[in-house]
Formats: sequence, C-alpha cells, structure tokens
Amino acid sequence: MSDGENKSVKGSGPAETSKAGTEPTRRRITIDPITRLEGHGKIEVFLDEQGNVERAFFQVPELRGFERFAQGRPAEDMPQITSRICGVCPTAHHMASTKALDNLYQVTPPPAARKIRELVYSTFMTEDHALHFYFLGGPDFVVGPTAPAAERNILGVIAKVGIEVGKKVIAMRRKLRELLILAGGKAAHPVLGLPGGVAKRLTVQDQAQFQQVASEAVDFAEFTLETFENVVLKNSDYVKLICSEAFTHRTYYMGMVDDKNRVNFYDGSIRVVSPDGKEWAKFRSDQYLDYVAEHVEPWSYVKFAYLKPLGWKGFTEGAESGVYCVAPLARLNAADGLATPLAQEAYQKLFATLGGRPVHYTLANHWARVVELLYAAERMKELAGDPEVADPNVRTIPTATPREGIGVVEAPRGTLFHHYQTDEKGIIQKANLIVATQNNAARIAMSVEKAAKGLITGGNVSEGVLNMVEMAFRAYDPCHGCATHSLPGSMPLLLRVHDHEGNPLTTLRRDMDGSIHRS
Amino acid sequence: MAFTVRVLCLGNELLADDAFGNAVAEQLRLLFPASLDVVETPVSGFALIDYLPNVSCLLVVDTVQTGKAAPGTIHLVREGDIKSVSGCSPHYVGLFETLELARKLLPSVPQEVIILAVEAADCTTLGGAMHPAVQAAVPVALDLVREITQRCAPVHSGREPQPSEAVRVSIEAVVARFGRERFVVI
Repeated sequence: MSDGENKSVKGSGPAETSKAGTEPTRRRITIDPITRLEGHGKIEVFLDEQGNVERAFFQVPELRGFERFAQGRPAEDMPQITSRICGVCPTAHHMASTKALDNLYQVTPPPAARKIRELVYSTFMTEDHALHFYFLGGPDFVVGPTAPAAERNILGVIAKVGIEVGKKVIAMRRKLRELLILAGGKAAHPVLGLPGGVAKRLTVQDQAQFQQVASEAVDFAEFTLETFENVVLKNSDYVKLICSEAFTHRTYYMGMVDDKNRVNFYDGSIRVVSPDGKEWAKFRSDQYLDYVAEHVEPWSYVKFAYLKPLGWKGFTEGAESGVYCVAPLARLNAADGLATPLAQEAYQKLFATLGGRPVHYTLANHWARVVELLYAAERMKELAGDPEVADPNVRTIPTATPREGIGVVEAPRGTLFHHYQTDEKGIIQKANLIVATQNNAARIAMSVEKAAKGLITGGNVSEGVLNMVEMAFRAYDPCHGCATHSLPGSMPLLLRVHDHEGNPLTTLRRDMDGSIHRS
Repeated sequence: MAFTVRVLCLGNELLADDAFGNAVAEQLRLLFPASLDVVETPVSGFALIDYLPNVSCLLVVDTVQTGKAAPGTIHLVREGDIKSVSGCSPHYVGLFETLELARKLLPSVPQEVIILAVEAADCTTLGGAMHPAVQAAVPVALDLVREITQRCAPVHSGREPQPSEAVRVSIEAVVARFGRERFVVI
C-alpha cells in the first residue's frame, strides 16, 4: 500500500495493445504524490505529441485495511462487522458473510431459513434498484442527456415524472424498509444471518405483511418499467447515447445463476460468458480462486479483478483479455433468462431491442436494472407466498471444526465474494473481500480512458469530458464508500492533463458545489 | 408547534475520521438530558429522508473532505446560505438535494437545517484511528448543540423564540469561543 510517496508509472497503461513486432515507447512518468486521494475522484491524462490522449488513469478513494482489520476477530462476528463497511449495501455484505459462515462450518440451513434469507434479500434488491432508478441513474436519462445540468438531478426527475410518482417512490421505499426492519431488527445493520440459518423465524402475520408489500412492489416495478419505456426508450437522443461506441466495451460478463442458468441474486453457480455470449465457465463459489485473480497497478489502490485462466493482458477488451464485468447488464448477459414471468418477458424485450445477447453497451445497465427490479419484486412475491417461509425450524446448529469459508452473492452492483480462513476456534487468520466494483474496475478504467480520448483532442480539453466520465462512472454505480458526505454537490473531481513530456498542461476541477474551475 | 431540535450524527465507526459523528453522538447521550433527540446512523444521501420529518431544527454532524482545509477544520453551513445545487453526485444524492425533494414530497420538513462537518484526513482505513484534530472538534459540536437548544428553548414569558436569529447567534457564539481560524462558515 503506497503512502503518498512518488510513484513511477511505466509507459504501459489502458491504451496499450500488444502488437507483434512493435514496441510501444516506454517512458517513466512520475505521478505527483498528491495522487493520494483525499475524497477526490482523480483522473490523470497523458497526451501524445499531437495533443491526443495516450492514456488516462482513473483513481477513486478506496477502503483499505480490511484484512488487517479482520484478523483476530471471531468469524461469527463478520456478518455484523462487514455490514458496517458500507452504508449502501449492508445487506449484501451481511448475506455474503453469512454464506461464508455456512461454508466455514460446513452446515446447511433448513429450507425455511434459506427462503427467509432469499426473501429478505429480494426485498433489499427491490428497494435498492428502485432507489437507483429514480434518484441515482434517473438524473442522467429520465431527464435526458442533453438537458441542462441544472435539471439533471433528482428534482429534475420529479419534474419529469410528477409529484405523485415521487410520493409513490418514497412510500414504496418506506414499506420495503419496514420489512427489512421486521426481519432483521434494523435496516442499516441487519441481524439476520447465522451459520446454519437465521436468527428469527417469520410468523404467519409477518408473512402476510411481506405478501402485501410484495404485491405492491410488483405493480410498482411494472410501472417503473413502463416509465422507462415511455420516458427513455422513446427519447431517440438517449437511445443513440446508449448505443454509442463511446460507451461500448466487449468484455466477458459474470453473474450468479440457478441450476437452469437463470439469474439468482442469493445463491447458485457463478457463470461467465465470453464477449460473443457463449458460456466460458461455470463454477461453485468455493472454486472462485481458480477463476478470479487480482492485479495491482502502481497508480491505483484498487485491485483489478481479472479472469485468471486468461491472464492479465492489460486494459483491453475482447476474448483474449481477462477483463470482465458484473452488475445488472452482466447478469442478464451471463444468464439464459429470468425465473419469473413478467421479468422474463422484459428480459427478452431488452435483448430483442438491443440486437441480441450479449449487449455491450455500458449505459444499458440502467435498463437491465429495471428488468432486475421486476424480477426481484416477483421473486419476493413468490417466496412470501410460500407456506414454508413461516416454518419455525430456521437453524441447523454447526458442529464441524471451522477452517475456511467462502460466500458469494450478487449485490446490486455485482458479484460480491467473502473469503475467510480461521483457526480451529473460528478466529480469523486471513480474510479477503472482492467487492462488486473490483470486478468492474478494469472496465471502468477503460471507459474513463475512452471518454477522455473522445473529448480531449489536439490538446483541447472540453469541460464536457467531466460529464462524460461521470456518466460512464454512474452507469457502473461503483461502490466507493467514501464519497458519501452530506455537503452539497458532487464528489469533487479532478482531471489533470499532462503534455507528452509529463508536464502539467490543464487542470479541470469540479468542486463540491458543482462549479468547474480550469487552470 | 413547539420548537424541536434533532441532532443527526452521520458516521461510520469503523472508518477512522468518519467515526466523528459517532463520537459526538456518544458524548451527547452522556451530557444532555435524555429528551434530546439524537440520531446516529451510517446511512447517507437519499436515505437521510427518513430523519427529516417532525422536527423544526435539524443539526447534522458529519465529516467532509474538501481537500482545501486542514484536518479538524469545522465547516458550518446553513441550508438557506447554499445556492441550488446543479448536477448529481456520482454516487449519492446530497443532503440538500434530499431536503429540496423532501419539501416537495413530505408534509413536514425542518425549517432550520445546519450542518457541522469536520474536515477529515482519513475516511478509508478500516479500523483506523481518528486524527487528533478531528477528535478535538467534538467539543465544538457539543457546544453548538448546547447553544442552539438553550437559545431555542420555549420562553416562559410566552414569547416564541426566533429560530433563525437564534441559530445565527449560536453559530457566532461558538465561532468566537473556539477561534475563527478553526472554522469555515459558509
């Protein structure tokens, strides 16, 4: 882990593709020690002699020290501890951690416990995806990509869809969160999962409440899909943007699927398809180390995940490169369908409209998310209606001696891996997490570079580049926990352009109040 | 309606300086009567909408990383002093956007919103220690709560307190007491 000392970056970066017989010019370029991020997203751009982008590096604040923090702690505490890492997806960490404990103690939860976990998880996914559509992704596309910046925020979304819809979103969210509190005690830090089961059964009354809200959630999801189709798909500017080359990458795609290769957020095998859509691998959670490795770059704290059998070939796309991605679009690409009827219809429509599977358009993540919202709500309704979910037997007590456990779920933002190694008393010796964003990190870096290349030419730096970069970034909805503070405006963003000798040329800084400064 | 105050302490106790909000909440519970409405939460952005209804004055305690001030610098912001925000946060909807939205969609939203945000050095090291300068800002937050709750307490002579003025005077008093150079007042 670097501590802000001068870092040297060799000439290779996102742009390099190895061509037989040509050796790209290698230069040593030093990145200023201010590279250590303090709450800024930072983009370093290096120009060639013509003033065009040779390479761009994107860094964001990254949580550090997890392994050291976990060492010495009882593994049984991890579902509570890891849910505190991130205020956005606590339930995802909680669930992956709980499954890692099942694996650690080699214990299988009774059917009712499994169903309760998946029901709660579907509730969480419904809430998260709904919130994202209206308030996070919405400003980009519900309002429209060419709308003035002043309207591209959640107020602009409400202006477009109407106050009644806004109230509906808030009400739906509140009901979903009440269910999470009912099952887990708290919405922010659920107390639900235990190795071998869950902490609390659901009564018949609880179940009835889940059923009631689930029905409303399905209606709400259908309405959201309709809104998307009316407001977004009928806006040809936006459709053009979705399909534009600037936001297209042909990589591998990863997602969790059930035994019929349909998306499942809670459990199943992990499936990877190649850029042409064919199944490339399908493996169990505990085999992930054979398929996923992490690559370190000197200019970033983020570890870039890649497909181990293919090897790290740099920031490139295509079937030879180990770069892959996760999250809604990847999940739909990696699956053969969805397990619930309305969502399956929506799945088919998405691929029919966008030219078949797989879809490589990053911005199609927003559409895929709405399709998944419908699946999550339908799945919630299915599970809530299952009589077994109110069965009192919700725990199998573990008896095996712990040693190693791996748990994987699909977080809203992509595949999440928890891996613990313990001593025979269950005290953690080693721990590793691969969060959703690490799976996407390489592709995000490529997207940023592509955006920079499109908007910085002949040494001219257009301010629009900040918006393009942000739009790509937002489509991945990365989980960077630190950019969460309440002062108004955006995450401060700093873009520094260097000439071909590495000297600073232009800096664009977007402050927390949204104003852009050029120097 | 009686003038009520809620202190909303935002923080993640695992993340070094981001535990500032939690530290303030802990002290508030020890030092103030149980009747003080203190909320401690790790959520952010739009989820803060849950904490807006049914209170007249909301004091938000949080950390921030502007990169433009020394760690421990205390930023004081009143909602009325911030111009409308354009553009969306790459990840999270800011508090002020949430407030504007809440005013359109909820029946009850605070009239007074004040943010006390301390410049953090490190919010990314799990299990990391709090920077001493950030720790030193805890008493400032406590003092602001004391000032506001005292100045805005119901007056027995029947005069209603003027919240806006009371908040302004409270901020001035705290800044003067601790030294202007420690603050950025917007």
